[in-house]
Amino acid sequence: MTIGLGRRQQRRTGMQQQPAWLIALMLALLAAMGARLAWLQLAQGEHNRLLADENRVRLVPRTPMRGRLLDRRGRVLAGNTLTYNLYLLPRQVNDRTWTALRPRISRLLGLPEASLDERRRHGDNPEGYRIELVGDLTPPQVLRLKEQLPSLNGLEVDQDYRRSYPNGAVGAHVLGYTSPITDDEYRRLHGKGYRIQDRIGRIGVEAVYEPQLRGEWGGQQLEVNAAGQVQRVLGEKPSRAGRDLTLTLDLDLQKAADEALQSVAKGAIVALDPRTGAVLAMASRPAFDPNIFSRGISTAQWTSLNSPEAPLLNRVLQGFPPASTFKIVTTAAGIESGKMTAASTMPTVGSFCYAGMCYGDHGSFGTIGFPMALAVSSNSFYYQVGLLVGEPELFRAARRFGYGSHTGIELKDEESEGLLGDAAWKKAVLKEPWTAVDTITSSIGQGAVLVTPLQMARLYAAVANGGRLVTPHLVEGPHVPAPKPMGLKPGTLEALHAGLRQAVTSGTAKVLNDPTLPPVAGKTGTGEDPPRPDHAWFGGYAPADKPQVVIVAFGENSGGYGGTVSAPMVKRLMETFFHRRQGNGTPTAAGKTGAPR
Amino acid sequence: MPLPGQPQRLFSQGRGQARRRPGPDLILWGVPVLITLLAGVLIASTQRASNLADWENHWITGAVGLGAAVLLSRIDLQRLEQLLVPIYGLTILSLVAVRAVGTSALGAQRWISIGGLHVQPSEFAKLAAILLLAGMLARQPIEKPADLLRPLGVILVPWALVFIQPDLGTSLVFGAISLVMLFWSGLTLPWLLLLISPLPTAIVAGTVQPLLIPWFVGLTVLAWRSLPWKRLGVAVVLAVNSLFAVLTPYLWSHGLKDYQKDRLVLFLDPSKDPLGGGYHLIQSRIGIGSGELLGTGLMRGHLTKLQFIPEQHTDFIFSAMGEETGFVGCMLLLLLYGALSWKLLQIAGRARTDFESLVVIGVLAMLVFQIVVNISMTIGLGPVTGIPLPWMSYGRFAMLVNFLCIGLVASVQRRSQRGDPFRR
Repeated sequence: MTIGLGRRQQRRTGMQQQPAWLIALMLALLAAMGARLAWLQLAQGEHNRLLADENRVRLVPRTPMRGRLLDRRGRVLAGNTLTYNLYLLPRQVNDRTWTALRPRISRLLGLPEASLDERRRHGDNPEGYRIELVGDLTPPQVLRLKEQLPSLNGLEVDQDYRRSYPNGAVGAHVLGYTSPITDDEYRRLHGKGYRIQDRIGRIGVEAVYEPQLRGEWGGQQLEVNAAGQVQRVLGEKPSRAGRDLTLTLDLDLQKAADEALQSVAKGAIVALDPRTGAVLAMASRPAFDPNIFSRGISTAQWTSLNSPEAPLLNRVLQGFPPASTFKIVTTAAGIESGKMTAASTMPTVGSFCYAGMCYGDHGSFGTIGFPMALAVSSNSFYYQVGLLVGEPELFRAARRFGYGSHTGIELKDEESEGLLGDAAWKKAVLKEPWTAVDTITSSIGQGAVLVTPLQMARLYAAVANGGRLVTPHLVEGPHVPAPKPMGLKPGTLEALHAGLRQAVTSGTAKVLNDPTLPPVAGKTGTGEDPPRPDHAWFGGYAPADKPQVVIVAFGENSGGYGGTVSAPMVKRLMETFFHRRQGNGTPTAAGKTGAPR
Repeated sequence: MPLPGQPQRLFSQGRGQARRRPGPDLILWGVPVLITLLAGVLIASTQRASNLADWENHWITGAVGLGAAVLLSRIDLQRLEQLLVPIYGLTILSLVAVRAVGTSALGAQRWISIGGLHVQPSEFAKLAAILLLAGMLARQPIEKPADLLRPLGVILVPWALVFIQPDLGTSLVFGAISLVMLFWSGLTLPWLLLLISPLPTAIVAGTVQPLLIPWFVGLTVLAWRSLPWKRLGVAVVLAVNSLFAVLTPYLWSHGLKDYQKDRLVLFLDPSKDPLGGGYHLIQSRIGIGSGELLGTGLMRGHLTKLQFIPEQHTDFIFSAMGEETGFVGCMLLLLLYGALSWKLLQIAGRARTDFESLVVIGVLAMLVFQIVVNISMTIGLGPVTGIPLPWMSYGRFAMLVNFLCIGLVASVQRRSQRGDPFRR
């Protein structure tokens, strides 16, 4: 760059009218700002001074009404209740005035002073947001407070919404609950419109669909007089309610599942529509009442929720040993591998010996085929099938039914993938080679295999709907993929249909052979879990010829058998599903089952 | 010190001239120092309720900046003109570096931390832009529209880098600097209007569409009367403005998020979002207004003490001024800024060379734009942009750059006083 071409020349810039224009512009700007300042400080000054001096501007956040959760018929599963709460305005109450206020509130509401102290300290925040001192005021309390309020400086009574679950613990796991946002979450989420005293959905649908349900905060900036009465609204932004969400759940069936589970200490029930994968009921026991979180949970309640029984855990989504229900997979492996057909038979014995080891069975049934083997749950039959098809085919069949992977349900964060302990797993984890013993135990579901009740329901749905793998879901929408055809051989489905039906008519699950119900098909399972009592499974569907519902019931360490513990639970749900509403004459699912195929 | 090169060579000839040099200019040096001192008190006032003592830092940085400015004022500006290429390279490099290793705040990458000082390349880039534009315009004043291409092209790269940080406020400062400097170097008013016409077009297109018709007619007449190649000129002006008229409503509804829109228009009606951004604006207005004629007195502001206004020691420092010194104090501050601006204009008018004159005008444009936009934000005349108030807002790197600007101006003043000014 050459040095200043114009150095010795006459300067050319700024030599015309530019200075005059710039002066004019600056004077205009100065005048505008001066005029505005005169307006704010001189014309409006006194008013502004009043607002500033006496903290006469109140911020009133308006909670967004959270979207309701509805069952498939529009019945409310989670809604909102209007409550009256007592708030403290922290900027107007210092420690000295608080010591005067505290006993008065305590007397008015009959609450210990210590708890008020605790609430005040807990809610203190640098932003000066109001602190909820007492929630859920009763009407007499509201009246008493309102009378005294003019002399209770720094307090206000206001409305708020509380999340409420009208059916209590019914469906608690799948619905979830809401609780106050933690400091960490607030730091992460405040950009998305969350506030310091916000609530956020935990577990279940409340957590997964949080963005749709929560809505948007609004608020008012109010000018009040010395007595705290509103003089003027300085600003208002209405809150926006969250969207209601219609779930695939059926409240009747959900209640029935809850009642059925009362027969075991721990367990899970899930019901699907086999044609679509829609979840009709999902229950887990022990359960909890989500309403306790809305009201502010006590220490005792929190301790009990964190007990070893893990009431917050949704057992429908946890893996358990599948036991004899796994014989469905072994059946499919046998026929799909091409090494057997639907008509193949095997001899059964009371004690099956192989390579110097003997494995017990609960009976000898002679030479039988797949349907009979499923019906009586013959172990020796399936030992031989397993050995015939081998480890790779066995686990390939399990994977095709979706075992060992997420089902695709919205509750992915809570869902376990289960476990498929195949040869590769054993080598990687136990550092031992696969042996024939492993094949034998795996073929009857006693190997290192864990299956969630939901995965199992998905398998029964695939059998019921003619070989299509559905995606279980709680909300209908474009996010749900269509059922995927698995490409099963007709022989596989034929053998399974016959076997599962026979298990009910003459096998291990005769309790479901009830003339008031449409024909049911299913399979029991009893899993050993020494030294604790056995697990009990039953999974089935009905009507057997054109299934409308798949139900899996599971008793965790319940003792007993699949046929005696779990099948009766399924029966309870089947009765609800097929018999309900007959009394009031509306057409029902049961009505349709009567139609010939 | 962001100045490259060897200082000893840059200093002017010798002590011989020192005898003839008149004493330091009272307005040029006094106003920034006075405002810095005042700002320290106000910053202390905003932090009464906390343990922070940023006012010390503010004064220390001010002293360092003042020292740097005195040194800089001893350098011949003409010599800086030789360093424009390295300055340009360094600016771009630092802006790229801030993207790569910079610390992000509030979603934007703005500074690199070097030895505890938050180096903000975008602040430095403002100064570099002034020098660059001055260098280019001194060699080729604006005589025909094509003369605009080179200076605008050169300035576009650092401008774009600042814009994508994203630092909308600073990129607006770039625009103001460029426009005023172009105007100073001969860009006529009609051309200036045509150059900025897309902005009003966008605003009109987003608000009162029918007004677009008379506006476009006016632009056509203006272009026809002032541009060479009249047909082509009118066609280009109309094409560009039509594009903006069509794109703006689309970008407004699809390109911007709600909070971004809020930020731009909330000042028109802060009551729309009383708990969010509007809260600051309402509180700032109440705070300033509550000062009435004389204010509460320094360190006695009520809202200021309670920290009702977030970021009050930085972007919203003027609200503390308003509450504690009242209308009289605010007007005095505005008059101080006005006197400084007047002085800068005078120095620009008396500068010996185009380059020096343009540098002073660039500094003037930068300071005035920041003052006006910042104060407008606090009193509800303009949107929230995050532009600091020179010498008032707490921000150490901005303080250094502002003082360096004064150093540059003082250097121009010294040279114009030394030799015979061309204007008598």
